[in-house]
Amino acid sequence: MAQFDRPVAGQSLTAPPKGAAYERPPEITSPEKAFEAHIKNVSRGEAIEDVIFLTSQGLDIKSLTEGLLRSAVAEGIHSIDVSLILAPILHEFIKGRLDVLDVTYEEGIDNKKQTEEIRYQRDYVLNKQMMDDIMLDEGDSTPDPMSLEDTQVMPSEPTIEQEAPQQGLMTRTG
Amino acid sequence: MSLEYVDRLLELRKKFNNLNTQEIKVEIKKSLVNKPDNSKNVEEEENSIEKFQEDAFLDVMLDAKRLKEQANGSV
Repeated sequence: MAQFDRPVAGQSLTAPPKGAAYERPPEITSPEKAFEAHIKNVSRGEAIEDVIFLTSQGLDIKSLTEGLLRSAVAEGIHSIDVSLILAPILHEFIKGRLDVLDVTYEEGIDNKKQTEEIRYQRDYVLNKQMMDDIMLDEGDSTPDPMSLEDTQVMPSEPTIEQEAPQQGLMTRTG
Repeated sequence: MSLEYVDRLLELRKKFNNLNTQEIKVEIKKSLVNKPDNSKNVEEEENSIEKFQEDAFLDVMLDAKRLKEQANGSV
């Protein structure tokens, strides 16, 4: 953390108490009503468009769900406890809508590194298979440009090293 | 802040993916017909949040399935 990238001492006392929405009691306390509010919000046409756009840009469903719930908590709509109850349901709801709309998406619940490794291995196998097919189509008669056995090496002439005439005071004479 | 809900999500998926659609329908009917006994009120209050979560998750899953079937049927 940089030296000045932190709150000043006493900064929390500069705003009036309970000024922020999340400091007051939440508007909705029942998970059922909070669920209805979220479903109503996400089912709007504009919201669905946003969800499609964001997921197509690489945002995973987990981050999207967390963002939706976090903003509801920050606006004082419901508490974090309700967020924890609603999170899997909202996640599944968004996933279901994206499945129906046939949108490619990342769920964000599996290990990304592992997924990348699996994809790499998959691509490697496919490429190798493709190369083998190409080699079979060309047949064995065509020489392999990378084969060392088929490479004809031209014999080079032996180089004759000529000694330079020795000069100077320290020159040894035979 | 990180909501660690993935384990619960996978747990719920595992629970409901194994059930057939008919079994799910029967389960929903049963849950609507059954009335809570007074003796079990305390236990039900404790499990009410979990039960709500499961019911809502199942609703969402069935809704998505129904929409998908409709979309496939219309094509």
